[in-house]
Amino acid sequence: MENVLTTNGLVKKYRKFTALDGLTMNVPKGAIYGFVGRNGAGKTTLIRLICGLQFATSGSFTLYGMDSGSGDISKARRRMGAVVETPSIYLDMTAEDNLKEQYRVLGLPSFKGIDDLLKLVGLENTGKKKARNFSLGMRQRLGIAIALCGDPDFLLLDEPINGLDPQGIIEIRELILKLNRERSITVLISSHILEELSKLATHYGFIDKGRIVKEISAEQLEKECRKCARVSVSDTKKLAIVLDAEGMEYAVIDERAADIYGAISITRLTELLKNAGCELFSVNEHDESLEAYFINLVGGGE
Amino acid sequence: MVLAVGLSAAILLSSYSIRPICVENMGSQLMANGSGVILVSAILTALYLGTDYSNGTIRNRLAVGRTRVEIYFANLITTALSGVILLAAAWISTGAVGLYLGGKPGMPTGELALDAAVSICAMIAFCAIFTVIGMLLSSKSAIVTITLVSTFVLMTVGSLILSRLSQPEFRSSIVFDENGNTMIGGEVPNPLYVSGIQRDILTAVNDVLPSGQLVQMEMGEPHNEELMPLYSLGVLAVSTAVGTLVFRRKDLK
Repeated sequence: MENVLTTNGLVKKYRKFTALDGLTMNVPKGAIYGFVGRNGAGKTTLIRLICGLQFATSGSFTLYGMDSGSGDISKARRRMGAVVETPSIYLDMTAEDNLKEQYRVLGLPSFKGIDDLLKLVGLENTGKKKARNFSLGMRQRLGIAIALCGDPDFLLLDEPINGLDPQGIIEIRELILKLNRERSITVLISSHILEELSKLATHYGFIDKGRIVKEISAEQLEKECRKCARVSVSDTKKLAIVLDAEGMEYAVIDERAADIYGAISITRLTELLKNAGCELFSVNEHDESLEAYFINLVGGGE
Repeated sequence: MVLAVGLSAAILLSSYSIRPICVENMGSQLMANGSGVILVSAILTALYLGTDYSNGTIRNRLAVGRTRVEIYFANLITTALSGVILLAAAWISTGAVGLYLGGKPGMPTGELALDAAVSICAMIAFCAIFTVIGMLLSSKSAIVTITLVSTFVLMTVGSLILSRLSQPEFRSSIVFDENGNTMIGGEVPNPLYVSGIQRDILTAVNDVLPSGQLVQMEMGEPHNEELMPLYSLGVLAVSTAVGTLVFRRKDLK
């Protein structure tokens, strides 16, 4: 599969702190690539390097086959749009004027297409309202519209749903899906809100301490996410003693609930719990969440 | 723009109210607005460049493939043009008010044109310095503060140097007779007079510094006036070279 972005052992150091430690990843064309990691894992640093805001200490990346060290990387960036951290907008301008400004930056000959862009991101009725008075969701959508001005094939979104209300999150999600499906735009989304990412991503890259821990497609991830049984009992301490004795893997959720991994015999479990003086209330089949998968991958503790 | 126009007209009106004859030499009056316009330009430039960082809009340019050198030069041209436009606006407002008050040029056209060229080049050199500061600092408040402080420091240095260079070599001594009456004595060396290599250095510094040039223009006693535009272009070249070199490798957020 053709890759839009490939990084090769990228290292970025800020004095003694290493933000990226030999990061290697591949973003396939047409994908919605979920870039998952804790705060401070190096997600934004990577996006800054790709956008040319900062320079790698060592290593390189290729964007549409053009090496980061070559002079042509600027040409490759013309096929890209990005929203890094907060939306980069002129607060004293209207949505339309912000887009016009970006058209000028791009050197586009006319303002044709601005109305369509405003419509696409749902800001067509903002009129003379200044961006300063926009909600966070509207600003985020304006930021995405600005990133779309050059009709890019690749969109980089850094934590696009941070701070948004549920309605705002849905709007951004719908917009990203629309861009990917209708315009075939490859999207790289960095986020630590895994549940939301799982509704969008076709591929994942898990980053921890500046390194990619695992790259996986959503399809593979679904297969790899372990099935488990969520049990509800009267006392999880007694349940734990029983499961330890049986050598089973489990995770206690609270005093009355736990996830048990692997195949279990409900009859045997019921019998063992009865002997231990623990009541079993319910058993539900449960898929391991993306969150649990991530925690297993990078380890829970800091 | 309104600030520059208002400030210039106010300077002339205030001079006129004290010394109505000042409008007889409008050429000198036009050149007396340099410092005020520089200050307005410093504020505007700092706010303009600082906004690019505070709103994060500089990222929109880099992310779509604009090179850092392109961004630097675009900002330099914008700030220099705005500085020249401010200067022109100040001249027009001063000239209009002066003409209304019955003023006359008071100097040959060629001399006036040279004065104007020196002021324009000094303004461009100042804008180049503001651009270095604005492009190399990333915080709007830091850009505004450092730009204004630098402007005040440069203008003060220009004034102080000119003040020292303007000291006469000798001055009259004052003596007292037996009855305690003061009398003017003979000429004695002025201890504040700067001579030798120190004078050469101070003269060169004040000729090269755009603030020194503007102060000399305001005082109506420019030294080496024909070379001043070249010095300003030198300041522009050096500051732009340093600015682009550092900005090319600067980490942005």
